[in-house]
Amino acid sequence: MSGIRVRGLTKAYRSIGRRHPVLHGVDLDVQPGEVVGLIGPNGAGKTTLMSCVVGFLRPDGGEVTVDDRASDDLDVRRRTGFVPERMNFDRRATGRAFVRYMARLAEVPRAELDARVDALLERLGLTSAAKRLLGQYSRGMLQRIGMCQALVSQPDFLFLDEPSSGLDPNGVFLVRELIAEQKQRGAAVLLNSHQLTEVEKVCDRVLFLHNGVVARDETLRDASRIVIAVTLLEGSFDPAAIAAATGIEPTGNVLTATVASDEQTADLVARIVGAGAGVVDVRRRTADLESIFRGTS
Amino acid sequence: MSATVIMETLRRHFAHIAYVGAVLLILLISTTMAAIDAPSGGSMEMMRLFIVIAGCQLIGPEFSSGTLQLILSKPIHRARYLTSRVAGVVLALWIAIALVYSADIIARAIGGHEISWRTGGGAATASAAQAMLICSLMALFGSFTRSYLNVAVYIGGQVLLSMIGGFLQFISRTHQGLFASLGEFVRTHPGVMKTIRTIDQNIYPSPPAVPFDRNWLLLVVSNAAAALLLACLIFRRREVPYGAD
Repeated sequence: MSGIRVRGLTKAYRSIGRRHPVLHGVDLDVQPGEVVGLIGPNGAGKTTLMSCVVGFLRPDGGEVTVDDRASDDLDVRRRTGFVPERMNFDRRATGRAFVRYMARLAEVPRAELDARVDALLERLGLTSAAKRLLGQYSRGMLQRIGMCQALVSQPDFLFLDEPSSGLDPNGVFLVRELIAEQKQRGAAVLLNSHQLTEVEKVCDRVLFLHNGVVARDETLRDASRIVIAVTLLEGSFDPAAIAAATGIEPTGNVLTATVASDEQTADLVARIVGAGAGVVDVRRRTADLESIFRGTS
Repeated sequence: MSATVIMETLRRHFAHIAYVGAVLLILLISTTMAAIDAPSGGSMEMMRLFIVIAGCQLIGPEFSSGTLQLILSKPIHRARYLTSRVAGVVLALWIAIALVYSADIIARAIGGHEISWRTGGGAATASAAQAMLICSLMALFGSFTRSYLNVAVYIGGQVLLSMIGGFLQFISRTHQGLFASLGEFVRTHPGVMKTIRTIDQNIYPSPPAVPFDRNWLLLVVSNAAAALLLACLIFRRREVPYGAD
C-alpha cells in the first residue's frame, strides 16, 4: 500500500474579480504507519491543504494521490477516515444512529456493523450517551463521536483536523492513544493541529506551513536526534560563559540543545556545571516545536 | 440510489417538528374543508408551499453546516447522494400528500358527502408530480448556492419571470413614447414573449385544468428529470470547502 503523496500543490480562492493564492507548490508524503502533523499560523493554508488532500477542493496545479489514486476515488474513500474540527450533523439523531448511518455509508459489512459501532462507542466513553440526541452533546462529546465515525471503517488513511479541540484531558489522552493505535495498525495519519504539545507527542514528522509553503519539514522520531531542555538555576550563571562552554546561547534560564546520544547529554550537562551554573532540570524532548514555530512564523 | 440515505432523509423529516406540525395543520384544514363539502382537491393547493419549504432543505443547509463534507468523505458518489436525498424528500412529501388525500376521503365519507375520486385523485397526483419538480429544482438551485439561497432563487425566478412577462405585455401595446421601438420589436418578434411564457410554464407549471392530464404530468416529470440531471452534473464538480484557517 502506498501512502498519501502531494507534489507541487497550488490552490487559490477566487472571489469576484480577485484571486487569493493560498498554496504555492506544497509537497507532502505520509507513509503507511506514519503520523504527520501540519502546523502553522492562522491563514497558512493548513485547512486548504487538508481539503485538497481529502478531495473536497480541486487543486489548481500539482498532484494529489492516495495509494496512487485520486483522493476522491471511491475505493480510497472506502479506506478513508476524516474528522472535521467541528462536528455538524442533524441534532435530532442519537449518537448511535449517527455512527450507524456513517458506518453504512462507509460500507461496513452489515454482519459487523453493530458490533463495531458499539465497540467504538464504548472505547470513546460514549456508551451511556449513545441513545441521547446529538443536540444534547457537549463539544467534547461531539469530537469523540466524530472520531467514532472516522474510525468505524478501520481506515488506512486518517485525516484529523484539530481532533483534540474541546476535549478534556482524558479525551486528549484517549485521542492520543487512538492515533497511536491507528499508526500501529499501519494507517497513514495526517493531523492538523494548533496544539504543539499534542503534535510533538503523537507525530513522527511535522510540516510547518507558512504563507502557503512548507517552511520546514522536521522529523520528530529520530533516534539519532534528541532534543533536550536544560533548566538552569536563576542567578547562578553567566549567559556568556554558558555560551562559551557549550556553543549554545540560553533562552532565559533554559538551554535547548540537540544531541545524538545520552553520553552527549551527560557531556553537555558537565560543561554547563563546569561553567559555574546550577542545573535544576534536564528534560528530553522530541523537538523544540515552540521555538521552531516562532522562528518559522 | 442509496437506501441508507433515503431512510435517513425520511427519519429526519419524521423527527422534525416542522414537518409533523405542517402535515397535521394541512390534515386539519383538509378535514374541515371536506366536512363542509368544499370542492375536492382544494387542500392540495396548500401543499405547494409545504413542498417548497421541505425542498429548500435539500443541499444548501448541509453545505453550509459542514454535514455535506462529512458525508462526502465516505464512499458515496455525489450524484448518487443527491438523487437519494431528493428521493427521500419526495417520498416524505408523497406520504404527506397520501395522508391529506386519505383524510379528505374519510371526512367526506363520515360527513355523508359525495366523494369525487377523480377530482381528488387528480389533484393528489398533480401535487405528487409537483413535489418531484420542485424538489429537483431546489436540488438544482442548491447545487450552486449555499444555505437556503435555493428557495430565494426559486421564488425570485418566479417573480422575475412574471415581471418580465408583464413588462413585455405592457410594452407590446405601446406605440409611442420611451418604449415605442421596444414595443415594435416585441410585436414583430412574438418568439420573445413565447420563450418567457414557455420557461415560466416549464419551471412553475400551473395545476392542470383537467384531472390526470397526461401531457401535463409528462411535462412536469420530464422537467424534474432534466433539473435533477443538471443538478447532478453541477454538484459533481462543486468544491465543498470546510472550516477556515
